[in-house]
Amino acid sequence: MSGSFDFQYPWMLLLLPLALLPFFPVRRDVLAFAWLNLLPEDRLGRAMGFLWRLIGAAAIAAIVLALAGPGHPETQQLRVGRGAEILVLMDRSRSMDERMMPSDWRTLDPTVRLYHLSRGPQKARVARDVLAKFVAQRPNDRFSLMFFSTRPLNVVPFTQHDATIQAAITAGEVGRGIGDTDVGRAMLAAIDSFAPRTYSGSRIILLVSDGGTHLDDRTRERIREGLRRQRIALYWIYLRSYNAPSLDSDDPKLEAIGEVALHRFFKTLDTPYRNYQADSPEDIAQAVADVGRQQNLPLDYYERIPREDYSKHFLLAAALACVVLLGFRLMLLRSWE
Amino acid sequence: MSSRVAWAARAWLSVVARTGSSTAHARTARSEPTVMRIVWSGEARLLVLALILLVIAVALPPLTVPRQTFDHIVVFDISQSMGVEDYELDGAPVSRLDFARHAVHEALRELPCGSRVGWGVFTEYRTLLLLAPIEVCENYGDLVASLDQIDGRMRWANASEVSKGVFWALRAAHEAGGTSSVLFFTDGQEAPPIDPANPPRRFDDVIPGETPGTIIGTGGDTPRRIPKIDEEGKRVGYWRAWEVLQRNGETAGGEAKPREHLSALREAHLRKLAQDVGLHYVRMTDVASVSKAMQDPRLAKRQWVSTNMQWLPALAALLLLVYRFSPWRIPVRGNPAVARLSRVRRLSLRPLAQ
Repeated sequence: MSGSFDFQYPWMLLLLPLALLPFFPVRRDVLAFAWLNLLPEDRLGRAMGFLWRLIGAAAIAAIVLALAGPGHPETQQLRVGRGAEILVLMDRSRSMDERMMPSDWRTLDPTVRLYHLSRGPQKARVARDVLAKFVAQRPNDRFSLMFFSTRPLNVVPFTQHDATIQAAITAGEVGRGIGDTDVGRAMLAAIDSFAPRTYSGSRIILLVSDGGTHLDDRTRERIREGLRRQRIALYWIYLRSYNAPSLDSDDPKLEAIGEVALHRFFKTLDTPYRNYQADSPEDIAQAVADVGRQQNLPLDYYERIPREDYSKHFLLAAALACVVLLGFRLMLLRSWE
Repeated sequence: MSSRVAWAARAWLSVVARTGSSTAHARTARSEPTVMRIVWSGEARLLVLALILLVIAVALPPLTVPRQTFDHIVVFDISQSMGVEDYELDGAPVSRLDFARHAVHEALRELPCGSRVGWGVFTEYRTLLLLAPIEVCENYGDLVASLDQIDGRMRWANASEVSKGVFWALRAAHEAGGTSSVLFFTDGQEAPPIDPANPPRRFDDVIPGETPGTIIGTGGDTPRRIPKIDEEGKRVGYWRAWEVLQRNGETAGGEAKPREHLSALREAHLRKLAQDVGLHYVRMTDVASVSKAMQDPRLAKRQWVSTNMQWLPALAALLLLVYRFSPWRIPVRGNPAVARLSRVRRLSLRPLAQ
């Protein structure tokens, strides 16, 4: 990677022959003299004359090279970091358009909660805010983002660039949701997107959803098996709907509720699973901390090293050449008067 | 500036004098030229100017200059009719969607830095924003990687109500900040077909002309069969006439021939739609047409971009030096002897060693 060199505007190099100009015979810089043979032999003068042309040529060449935009091209350098590979699985189904309970819902009388619902933020907006913060706080992790509703929509493959992920998260809130929530299919697609990648560090699927699906046994088995084979931990940031029960309730009757069933299934996974409430800031902080506490194996990643421009150096060299040329002028006999 | 040059010249001169290798021509005290006078004498003046320009070029900080940039949300119709293969790429037939993606990929490279591009997809009756616009040069790799993911497998439902899709796209552009223009790639195939008596009405919040943009018509003139693609993205034959909703009176038994299972570019419909919401319309014929649409001056934005302007003084310095050393230059004024010396051998630049 070292030693490589390129030009931004290589066509400028076509001007390089201009540097030969000083070597052409000129009838300037001359003095009239009666008879040449009268002049003493002057080796030093000849040498200086040649040097003058050389430096003139160097000055022209240096400017042409500077104009061509010389530099060290942008490179990628393999670095070893300690971050996780996180796939964000963002729910874009219609249920995400609904509102969550306002942040102070715990203090409200349960009988009037419904009337406060309109004060609550939209789930999609909560999801966006939570994710934007999450990504901003984990600058060393590599993120990928997938929307899902009826089908998974793979938006951004794994990248190190936070700007791209943030743009996708922003898009996740624009417009109303589409279709239903098919967590099973989305989970399988998310697991699949890890498959072609070499294992280079802890892997996490960050599910941001209000849940709400029952998975059939076959899907459950495939998810369980896939997570184990790809060694993926599952974090679920749960957006609790109005009147939704607490996920951790032991009541067997609640199995009928999609999100509870999903949570109970996830708890039986062989791979790590954690659950966080999106409406509680402590939980989100906890989620960020948990990712940090993961056993982060060294993760290979490429860091972009931006292009380095050398044109200033060449301009400086040309300026120096001009100074030297001016110095020469001072020693010259200009005329006979 | 020039005093610093003079100082440098004087210092250099004194070094030369001390080493005794060469001395300035001894003259009478009366006509001894000062350093300043030499530096500013006819010939040297060009060198001094070039030097000044070069120093300016080195010291010049990046300036902010206005430049034309673009800010697009590019929406792809991913409904089934976009799978019709009536484009050609490297001799092989490719689908409308694939060609549109390829063309956008190529055109992306030509957008000036500072431009922003985002992606959206359309099917059913909705346009879904996938990626909010981001700067193209900085995020080129990610934009391309994301573009490569856009295909029919994203289709969350199978209808194709293009008019509503365009309305939703304009709505999304408004919601995403209202600074972007919309480029909408579609063949104009409405499924189910529009009831002429009851066409879809423009949403009240979509104000014509508020969001600029272009509908880019894709597809050929000959109606072709639409490949049928299942949920897993596999091709399973073609859509048949009785499998799709036909227009009134155009059922298989009716007098008019059914044609909604065939797809060609419905240009008239798209032109009308574009006019209705204040968009432009162009047809995708090749990569160049898409590139042109993406750099349509009507969609350009003036943006202040930090630009390195050092080339300007550097180029001026180069011209001065070239002029200074040019052999075809007119002889120096004020030295008439030169003009007369047609046959005298050149004695250029000879310090007088005595």
